[in-house]
Amino acid sequence: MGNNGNGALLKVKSLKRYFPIEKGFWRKVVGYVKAVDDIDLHIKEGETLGLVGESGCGKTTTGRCILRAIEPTEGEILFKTEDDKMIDIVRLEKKELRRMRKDMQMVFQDPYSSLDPRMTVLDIIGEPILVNKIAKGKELQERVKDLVKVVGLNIKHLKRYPHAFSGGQRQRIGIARALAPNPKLVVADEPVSALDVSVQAQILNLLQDLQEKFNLTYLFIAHDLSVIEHISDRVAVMYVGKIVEMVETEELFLNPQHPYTEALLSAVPKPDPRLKMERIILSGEVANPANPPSGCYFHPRCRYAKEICKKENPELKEINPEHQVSCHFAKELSLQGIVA
Amino acid sequence: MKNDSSLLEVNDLKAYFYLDEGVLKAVDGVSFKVRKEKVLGLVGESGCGKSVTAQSILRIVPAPGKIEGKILLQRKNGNAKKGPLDLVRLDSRGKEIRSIRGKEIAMIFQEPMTSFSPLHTIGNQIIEAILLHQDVNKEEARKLAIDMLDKVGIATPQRRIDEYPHQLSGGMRQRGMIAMALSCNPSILIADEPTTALDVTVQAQILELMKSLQAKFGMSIIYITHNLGVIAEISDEVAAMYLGRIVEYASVDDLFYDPLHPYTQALLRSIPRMGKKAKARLESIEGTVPLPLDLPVGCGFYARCGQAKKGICNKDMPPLVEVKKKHRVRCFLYN
Ligand SMILES: Nc1ncnc2c1ncn2[C@@H]1O[C@H](COP(=O)(O)OP(=O)(O)O)[C@@H](O)[C@H]1O
Ligand SMILES: Nc1ncnc2c1ncn2[C@@H]1O[C@H](COP(=O)(O)OP(=O)(O)O)[C@@H](O)[C@H]1O
Ligand code: SF4
Ligand SMILES: [Mg+2]
Ligand SMILES: [Mg+2]
Repeated sequence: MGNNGNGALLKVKSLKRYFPIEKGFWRKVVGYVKAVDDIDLHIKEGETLGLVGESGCGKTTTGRCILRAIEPTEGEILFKTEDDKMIDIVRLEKKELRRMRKDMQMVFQDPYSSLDPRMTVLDIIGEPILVNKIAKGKELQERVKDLVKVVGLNIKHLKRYPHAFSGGQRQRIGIARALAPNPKLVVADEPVSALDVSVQAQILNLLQDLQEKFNLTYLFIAHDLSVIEHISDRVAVMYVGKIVEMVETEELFLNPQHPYTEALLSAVPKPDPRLKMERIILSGEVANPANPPSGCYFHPRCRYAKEICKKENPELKEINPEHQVSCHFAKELSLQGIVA
Repeated sequence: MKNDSSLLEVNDLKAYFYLDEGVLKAVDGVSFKVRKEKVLGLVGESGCGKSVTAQSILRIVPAPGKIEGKILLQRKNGNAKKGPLDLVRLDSRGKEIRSIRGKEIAMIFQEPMTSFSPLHTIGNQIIEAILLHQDVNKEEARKLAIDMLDKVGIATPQRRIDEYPHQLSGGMRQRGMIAMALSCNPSILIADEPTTALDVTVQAQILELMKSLQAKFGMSIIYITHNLGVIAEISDEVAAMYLGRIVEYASVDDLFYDPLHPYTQALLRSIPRMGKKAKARLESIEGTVPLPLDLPVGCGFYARCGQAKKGICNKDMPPLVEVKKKHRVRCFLYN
């Protein structure tokens, strides 16, 4: 794949995660939800890869597999170590995994359910520091205070419980907890989706500041394309468990090459009443990952589909340097991006 | 009737909840007009009073909420010549308001599961609504219901009508909800975040559907959302709310191209826009929206406002005044 993945902090190869569908008393497996179905991606050090797609397309499952919060069904997850070697997270034993884990942390969507209501801010942020044996006692307190300041909370509130905070403040607590063990990679799963727009802007700015300050690498998961465009260096678009397009951000928005990307961009309502763009209205809804259509999973909704699309699943191919697309007609179609 | 004639006029509406902690002023002096065949967008962040405003109009504000002010409804058909009716003065459980709900003013919600009963087929629920308000028999009602499901883009409506809400996808349920709301041909539709829970491609379908149905049935819509993109797309006029009050009220074009209130201006600058250079910093509004309980005197936005004038803005509540033609603002910078 060309020079893809050079200097990568993370490389994902042929990742699959199938959830068995069980039926009856004997819990016979009658099929599989192919939540993540053979994806490849990489993230360079210090960069933000945006992962976007509609609900159920496998974004969260991808993120959780990468952190090995759930076990992949198949595939490799290569992570760069201190001495510049790539080690496969999937094959690590428990003890080694624990050591690697502090390098990879997660921020969740729901700032309400993701914080233990019985723990104080100090305990919530201190826990990963203790568990990873980074500091204890007075030093731990100092570290927590630093983190609290860094995410823009008041250090006087260390003894408070999550319910005393607004949604935006809780998200700051969640971010401080993720930063506590000094990670290299942060998987942020819809971190601003539950927030009001004015608060969303605060958190996006904070994430950008922290990235610069600590040289963080982000996998940023969201369904909101304008948020994705704002924060990402590169973007991967998912549809029914597969990556259908992956490229540098500006290129994706101005010059999309997959019909699904084009339709997604067109579907977003733009905050401009004078813009009278011709809308591409996709018919139907996202396919069921337990029973995807034949051929290209997008073909039943695609306005460019031809016979071959019903029969053959297009591979994700590099059509330009660092621009991957899985569409039989990727090079031939001239698709419409965002008109800036 | 002329086009600028209003079907619904809300005057100085207040909806207060009398709680142990004090009086929560969810809606505090809201006035607007819903014009014939036009879409009024109500926009604002969560908690600003959008849903309670809608509940007030339908008189479904739950206890311990109380409403005050005037909600003048222009009646339909035979009732038209009686002149406008003040909904505030009706008994919230009385016959009159029940004959208005669904028939003259219908509402759709963010989560159709809460408005459809899971125990009955969608068909039976739509048929029920039709029988309640129209002089038809069961068979005719079923026909009307199938026809309506067809109009909202549900394929094979003859079959779908006998399905239960949980058998439908989120988008299909929302279509079903719209079919039920429009089944009695209301003159006003209140849509409270109807696409917020949906995926963007399905949201686009529903928005398109609502626009085409509005053109077809000629109803007025109060469209409630926090999404400025949706507001820009669907509204003719927009009322931006903050802490239970309208802070700016203008045509959709003026609101987006000439926003005057510091809150509206800041809100528009805080959203990431596609096609703009990525990675630039967003302008954010400091702090968060407070609860409308025991608010200090003065402008509600004072604590977060970048343009506030001390000694003025924190002394009195600015009035909502027309500073340009059909463009109202509640801010001391303009008077
Ligand atoms: N634990 C699980 N068991 C069974 N199916 C699951 C599980 N987690 C996710 N899925 C299914 O996998 C698919 C992808 O889910 P998810 O990764 O959560 O998508 P996204 O985050 O893009 O919305 C969905 O169809 C979902 O229902
Ligand atoms: N049933 C209720 N009892 C008490 N307070 C309520 C009730 N419903 C809404 N509120 C409060 O009224 C304010 C306005 O709420 P709402 O109209 O739902 O806001 P929006 O729809 O704009 O998000 C909020 O502060 C909310 O907490
Ligand atoms: S492969 Fe065919 S169906 Fe799939 S996106 Fe391309 S044109 Fe559409
Ligand atoms: Mg998810
Ligand atoms: Mg609401």
